[in-house]
Amino acid sequence: MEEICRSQINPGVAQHGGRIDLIDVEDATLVVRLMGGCQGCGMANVTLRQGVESAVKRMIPAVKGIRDITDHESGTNPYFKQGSK
Amino acid sequence: MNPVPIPISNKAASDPVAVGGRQRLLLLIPTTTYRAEAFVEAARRLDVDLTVASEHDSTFSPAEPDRLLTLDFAGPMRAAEQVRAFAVEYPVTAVFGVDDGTAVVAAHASRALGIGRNQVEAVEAAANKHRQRVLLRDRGVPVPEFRVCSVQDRAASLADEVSYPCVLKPVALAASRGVIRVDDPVQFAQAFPRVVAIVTEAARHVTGHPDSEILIEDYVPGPEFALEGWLDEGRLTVLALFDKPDPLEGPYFAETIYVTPSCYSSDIQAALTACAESAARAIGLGFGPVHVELRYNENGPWLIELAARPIGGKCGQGLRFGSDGSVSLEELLLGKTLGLSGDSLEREASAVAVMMIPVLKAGIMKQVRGVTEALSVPHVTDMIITVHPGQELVPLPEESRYAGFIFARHDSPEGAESAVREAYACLDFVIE
Repeated sequence: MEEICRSQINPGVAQHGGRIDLIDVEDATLVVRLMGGCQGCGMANVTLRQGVESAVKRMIPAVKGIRDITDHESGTNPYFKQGSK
Repeated sequence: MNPVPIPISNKAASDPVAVGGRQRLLLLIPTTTYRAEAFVEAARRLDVDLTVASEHDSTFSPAEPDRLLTLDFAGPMRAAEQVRAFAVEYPVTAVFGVDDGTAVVAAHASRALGIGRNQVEAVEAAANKHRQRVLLRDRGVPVPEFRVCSVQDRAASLADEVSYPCVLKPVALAASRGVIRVDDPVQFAQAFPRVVAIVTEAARHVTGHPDSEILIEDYVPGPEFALEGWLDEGRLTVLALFDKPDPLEGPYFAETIYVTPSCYSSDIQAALTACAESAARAIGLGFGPVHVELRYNENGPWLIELAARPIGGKCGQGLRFGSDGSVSLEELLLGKTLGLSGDSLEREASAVAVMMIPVLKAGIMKQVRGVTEALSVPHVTDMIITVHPGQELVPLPEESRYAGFIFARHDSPEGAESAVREAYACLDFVIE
């Protein structure tokens, strides 16, 4: 799984200054922390659910899902900054 | 005066249908929203095929073409063509926009697909403060007297022509940004160039319209309310009626506390609801979510603004629906949009208060003290700080960002309101 993150996932998120760290695997659910431009990004959840999770499940069908444990409120340089609505 | 009814045609060319056994929801989410997670998670719980469209490319779009889409949100007609091309390969059951701009794009896209439930013109009118007021006034809905001017107009001339007190409002901005009350010509002459500067600055980053108009309307005294509703065939169901217990009297209009259910009499609540429903009808909206701002005084209800979208910010997070309170506002709205049956439109029994934490001072955020103490206040259910150390903060009216949100639940509205006030009092934002 770490190899997939390194070679298949992180090159994509790196284009937006981000990185996804695999922290743990719990009951076939990947526990991840988002870094850099992903931390606090308004579209982080979209990327995770619509991009990363789908790609990972296709490569490893046994994966049930992804749990994000990022403290997004502490993100200091999100790629997409959230506005007021 | 009774509102003049206009016909509403909100039956879709074809009602939502599952394509190949699965429904596909196209969710339009601008990259600047607070609300992506709430809507995406809600759609996942509905177990439908989900495509999320934004105005910027996702790095995963090429690998996930059925799940991620890029649309020209600034050009709704072009976006509609993009959606039509997408739907050739991935048929779409319903389109939902989460804010004013994407609601307009959703209306265009739905029309292009033949699944529209509202007239595009109605949704566009709801997203334009001036056009909306013209329709409401002409159809007898009580709105403040208003006029519109250009950023090019001379403040001195306008100051002699308007009545006082009045409120200056940029037509193209939201969340009270650039909204200033003035009580006399001297204040007007000071406020007008300030609003022009805000509009001009926003045009560079947000609206893209350097010649945006400014609305000048009479100030309407009285308590303010926010109504969250769902329209179906023109009938309004109230999902939540929020009191705003802090007086909003200006000169700036920072939202602070929302509390529901309302503490006002059933007669006043009914009058507010009737006003909101007649406003939706006057604009021509017949289907979907509405967020309505109203005031009430000795002359009855006043329609301040109506939007064809759900409540903004993270305020919707406090609302729960269904028999066991397990359904979020977002899940309810998406389910109704898709025509899924089941969930009740009735909110859970608990009273809920939400406090939008205002930015009170300009400067660089250093730290927030008292978070643990605030979270430990009884009945406070959650708190989100949405600013971070090192961030530059600018208060209203120049900017409209909140510093965070506090949520509380209680048996009574008064108890929920007290809880968020007590939690807020624990917080100390160090800004230098």
